[in-house]
Amino acid sequence: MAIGKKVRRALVFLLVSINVVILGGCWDREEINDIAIVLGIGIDRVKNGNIRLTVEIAVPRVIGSGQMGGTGGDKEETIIRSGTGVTIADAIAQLQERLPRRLFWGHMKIVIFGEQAAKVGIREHLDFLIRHPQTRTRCNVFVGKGSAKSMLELIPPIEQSASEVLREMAESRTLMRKTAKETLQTLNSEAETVLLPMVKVLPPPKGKKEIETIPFIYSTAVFKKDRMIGQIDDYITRGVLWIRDEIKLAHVTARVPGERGNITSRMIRAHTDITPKHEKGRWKIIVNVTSEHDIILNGTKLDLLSERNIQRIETELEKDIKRRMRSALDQLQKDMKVDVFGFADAIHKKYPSRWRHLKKRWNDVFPDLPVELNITVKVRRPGMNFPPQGVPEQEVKE
Amino acid sequence: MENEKITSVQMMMLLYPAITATAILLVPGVTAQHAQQDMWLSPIWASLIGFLTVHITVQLYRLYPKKTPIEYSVDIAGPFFGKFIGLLLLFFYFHVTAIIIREYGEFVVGNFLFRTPIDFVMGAMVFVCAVAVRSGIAVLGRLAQILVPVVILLLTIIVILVFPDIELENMFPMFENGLLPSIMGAATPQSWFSECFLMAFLLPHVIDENHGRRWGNIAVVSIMLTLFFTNLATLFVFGNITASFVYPVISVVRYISIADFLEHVEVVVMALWVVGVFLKISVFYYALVTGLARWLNLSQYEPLVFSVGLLLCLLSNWSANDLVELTHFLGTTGSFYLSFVQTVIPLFLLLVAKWRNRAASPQPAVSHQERK
Repeated sequence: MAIGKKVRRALVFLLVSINVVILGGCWDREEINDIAIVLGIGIDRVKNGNIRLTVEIAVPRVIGSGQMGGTGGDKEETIIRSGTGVTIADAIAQLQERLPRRLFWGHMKIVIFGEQAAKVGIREHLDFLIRHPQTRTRCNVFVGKGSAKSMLELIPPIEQSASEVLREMAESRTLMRKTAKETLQTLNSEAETVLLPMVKVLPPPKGKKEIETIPFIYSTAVFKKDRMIGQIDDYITRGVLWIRDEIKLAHVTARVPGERGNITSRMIRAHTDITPKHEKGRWKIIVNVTSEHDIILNGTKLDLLSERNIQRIETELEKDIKRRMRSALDQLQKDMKVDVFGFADAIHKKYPSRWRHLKKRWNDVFPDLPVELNITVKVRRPGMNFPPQGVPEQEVKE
Repeated sequence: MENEKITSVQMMMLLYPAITATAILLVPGVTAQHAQQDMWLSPIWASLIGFLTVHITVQLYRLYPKKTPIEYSVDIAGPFFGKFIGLLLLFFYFHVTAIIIREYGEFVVGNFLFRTPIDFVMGAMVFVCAVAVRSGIAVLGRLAQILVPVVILLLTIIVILVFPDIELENMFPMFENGLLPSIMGAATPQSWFSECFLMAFLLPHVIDENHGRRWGNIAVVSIMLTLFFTNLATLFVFGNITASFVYPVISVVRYISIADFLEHVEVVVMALWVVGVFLKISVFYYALVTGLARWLNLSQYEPLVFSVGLLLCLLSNWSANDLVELTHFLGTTGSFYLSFVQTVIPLFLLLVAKWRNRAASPQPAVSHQERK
């Protein structure tokens, strides 16, 4: 009897084990060697309004073994394929024809829109990316100067793929960073504007092949609704980032009146509050910035041990930050007339009932909206030295 | 059938997944459509129905100890109407269980197993649940005691992992159009809370039945907190686009990325979430099968389990044409359907019972309560 029981148990166990083998993934079983892992995609608009989709696909064997074998170099770590169609989904169908493996979207890190595609509108493409059950809403979105394909084709010297380069660049937050989710959120916000980082190809150093370089973020594309209407340079972008409370990295250089030389500080952290005010029937925006800095370069003869000098420096840094913000306001508010600063949302959040009336004439009100900038800079630390370096002691000003 | 015993803590652990498991799927999206940035408030309104249902259920149980609704409806409304109400409840649970199975199937097929036939996904789940239900309530209770703490821990971890991405601004403007949107948003979750009526089928098995009320209320509070925090986390991450997602919570989980390293956590979430749904379906399934056995005056319910399971598979297939129809049903008529059967009918039974007891002999009912 005991043996019979054991045999029965073994049989049951065997049956269950067999089930585990055949039921894994059911009809959706996909082996790792049957899928092509998409790292990044580029969306371009080509002739007769069609969409050209370019995908960068990881070649797993090469990436897995890496450069350790020492044979690397000639072998590319990613491959580029394109397909065209009326929509992205349509283009994917054509792309799939040209690939032996099934496209897998779970690791897609970046999306680049070609300039032409961005000017026509990106909503349809974003819809696909959000609706797809495999894609991540966290992927970074860019606009490529020229075609998106040319960015993905590059073979970067350090990172494994152009997609990885761009993702790292966006995450370093030197300029704009927008994930697909954030893009949709701003598109759905009260102002219906979007800012996306713009990338172009870094000219390769002499002696290198034309494609042995990287794409980099150099400016910012401005969208009204889902269409790109213009672009702002890095200086203006930083001004916008200060106002939007999205600045993460900033160096501020100022001159102190009456002194020769520059002082540069590094921002440690900053916080911006946008407060809308309604006074005597007129709207007004008050932007309060508090920012903490460390001095990283002192080209003047001022001794940083003196509280008076620090206060003078703080005042000048404040002026410089204000200038940046003001020039951003001048270009975007006065010239381009797009509310990328989040003023509309700030009013909506503070005065929801008044916003309902204001919303209809917001486009007329916004360009003439007075904006007050209050900036407080606190210099916390002078770096490793108090007095300026290389200056005789008697010349140092306290 | 009556010999199996669970503790009141196990009852709470069965009620918790019986409501939350599917309440974090379609419900947040439906809530967000009505309540928008006030969606975090809706579970709190909705929980009022939960407390009310627990109160009604416990009151009825005190009047008719050791009896389930199938039996005391006969005592209250007479043999004909009582049996009719019992049949109504059975048909209701039959339908609702099928809908839950369908929700599960739609979710798995829509998010993970795209090419797998939905009937297969649902059939596999029904089979597992059938085996669990056959094993009896004591087994279910112990299963819940082991699994539910893991599920709660997991939900807590998710909420913590979402922290780097939260945007408190998304909460404002609070109460833009008054409190009405958040109350409207509560319409769907309140029908989930009315499922607390399942307690009525579990209470006869609870050893420490005098703690039933306390643990029932603890279940409602913990469910309310779970929905509150998941809604809040979803709102903080997605803000104004929350309503556009079919399954906002899973989309939030997919968004999690800690230091570019901890990503793609939804697979773990899925694995444990399936556990929650397994418990949910089992509890409903158990209530249905034991209810049917009692209605037919059978001494055992086990022989019914597999045949009812087959019918459940069929009905879940018929319960909706597609996801749109299912969501529409749950967001509109379904809300009133669920709370009508599980809250309004028991309330009606309770009122009749009180009135009858008073008419017949006022003392016993009162003294019975005082003894507790």
